[in-house]
Amino acid sequence: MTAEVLTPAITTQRPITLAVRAAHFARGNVLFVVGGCIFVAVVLGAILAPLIAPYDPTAINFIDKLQGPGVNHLMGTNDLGQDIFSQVVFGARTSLMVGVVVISLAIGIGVPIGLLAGFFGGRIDTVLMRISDVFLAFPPLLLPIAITAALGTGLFNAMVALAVSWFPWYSRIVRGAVMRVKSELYISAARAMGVSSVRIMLRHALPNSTTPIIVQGSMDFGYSILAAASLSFIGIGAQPPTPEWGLMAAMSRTRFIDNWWTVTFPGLAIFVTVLAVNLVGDGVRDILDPRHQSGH
Amino acid sequence: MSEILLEISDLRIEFRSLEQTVQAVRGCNLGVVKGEVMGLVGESGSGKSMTALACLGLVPPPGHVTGSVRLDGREVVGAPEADNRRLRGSTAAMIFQNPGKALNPFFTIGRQLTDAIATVRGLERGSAERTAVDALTEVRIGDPALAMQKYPHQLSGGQLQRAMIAMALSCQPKLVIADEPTTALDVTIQAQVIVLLRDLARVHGLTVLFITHDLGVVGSLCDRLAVMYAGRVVESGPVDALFANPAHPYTASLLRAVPMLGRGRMTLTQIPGTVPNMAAPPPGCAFHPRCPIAQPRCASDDPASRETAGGRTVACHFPLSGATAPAALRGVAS
Repeated sequence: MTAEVLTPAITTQRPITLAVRAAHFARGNVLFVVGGCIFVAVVLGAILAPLIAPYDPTAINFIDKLQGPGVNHLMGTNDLGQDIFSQVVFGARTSLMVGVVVISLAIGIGVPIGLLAGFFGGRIDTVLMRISDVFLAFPPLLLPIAITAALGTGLFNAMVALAVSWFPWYSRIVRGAVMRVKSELYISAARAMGVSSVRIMLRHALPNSTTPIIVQGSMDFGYSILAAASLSFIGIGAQPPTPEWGLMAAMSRTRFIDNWWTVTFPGLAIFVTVLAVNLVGDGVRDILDPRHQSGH
Repeated sequence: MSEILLEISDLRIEFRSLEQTVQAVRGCNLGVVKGEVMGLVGESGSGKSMTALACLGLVPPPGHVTGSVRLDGREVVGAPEADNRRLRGSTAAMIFQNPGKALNPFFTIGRQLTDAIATVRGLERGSAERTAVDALTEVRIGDPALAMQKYPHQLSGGQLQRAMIAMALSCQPKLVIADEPTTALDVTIQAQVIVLLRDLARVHGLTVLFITHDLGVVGSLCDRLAVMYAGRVVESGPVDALFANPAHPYTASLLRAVPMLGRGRMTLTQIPGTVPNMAAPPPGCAFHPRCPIAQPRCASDDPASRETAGGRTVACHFPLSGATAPAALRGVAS
């Protein structure tokens, strides 16, 4: 017979990397760009905080207490004379750290549970998911409050508490993705090649389930910052003198009527950061998951 | 007689649910001799894919398997999963219908081939990678080195099926099970893949169980043929003899339903009726409601498979022979 050699149907075009897709997406999406710019600014602010902040955020100066926003103190000072602008800048570090830690912990707990439940199914699935459901049964902030009450107050405990109450969402998402991937032919093909279950789970099921994890993580980042600020506000999160936005708002809340700047600027910082993170999160979802894309 | 590599006897696969029990395979008997290409033909739902999966112990969970499948002397049915896993890839490898979905979209072709070879043959990565390139060369992929770096979505269906064949062959299995490997491909690509499989089978002396519903493919590729209907083999034998003188009315009807150039427009016939509901198969011979020569006995008495001359088997009370075939079934292979 003719030993025909086929030229591969391979195009020479530039490979469509994530960066290329993101650039293409950004071109038509103003909100994503705006959110991205604010987020980058917040990150830079957090990294360069010692260079940007004009004062030590914890330095107490009773002579300058409760100054309005002005040349010396851009956002004014609080009742201890601490510079609010410096506190807000250093607060970005706390908030970003909280977002990263909470989401990482939630993924670290939730993903293995969802992976095992979805891949093996049956009783393993039932047991793991019912355990996860217990954590979902509580109203969103009640469980962290209870956990912090048990573990003791403090920023670290608050982050652990948030992650513990958040992980079931990741379990569920991963479980769903894995169950969908599990029925794919390449899983059967791998089995038919004699690949072990654990290897199939880690090498085939997990990598093909990562997109929804990344999407959910980027969406939750903002909420976890907000939730941590809420915990700090009610006094069971960050403790003074940690520069934390929720805590700053809480410390000055009685002065809000007379000295509006004491509460407004930390509140604005939370608002702007969470908004920016969510805009970026929406964009990440649209880039990674084309099904959600609104026609553009 | 040469050595039998795969022997399936009285294989039964049932899927039980509260409402019904579906008998996907009902007493299938099949032997594949070392070095031959065995065709397994049947309509959708005749149990041919399930039979193939049972050969590797891969029938999905609710399926209940009984009977015997001996692969290279080892019993597969009821064997521990760990034992069966060692057979897969090394003793028997499978090629699937849809190559686009049989490869993981997350990794390159090269990575997946190398992984498979390293796992199954226990080679270290460097030599596994060289084996992978050699295998891709052998399946006539243009520029194997380039294909190694490609992701599945960057290759065409034909290229992917070649890669799948390369993966199966590079693990040096004794038996290749090909489950409709050409069904999802264009007709021209189909022909290329079949030629490739035939050449590879000849060069390497491969034993192949080739599952298809395309009798044309069987004619050009297979040495022997087994025809499945409603979960059992109704006829088997050498392809030429079976095509020339089908003994089972179902085989005869199948052959008449194959479009063939030069046979005119009107001779293409369909088999009346549909494949029986496997939750409630008809009593007696499963084919009798659709059989043009059915007798009262066929409705009550299930015909056992009998051996006939020339290494053939047939499961029919009234097998056809060239001379006695009724007009409705005659002139099939002339």
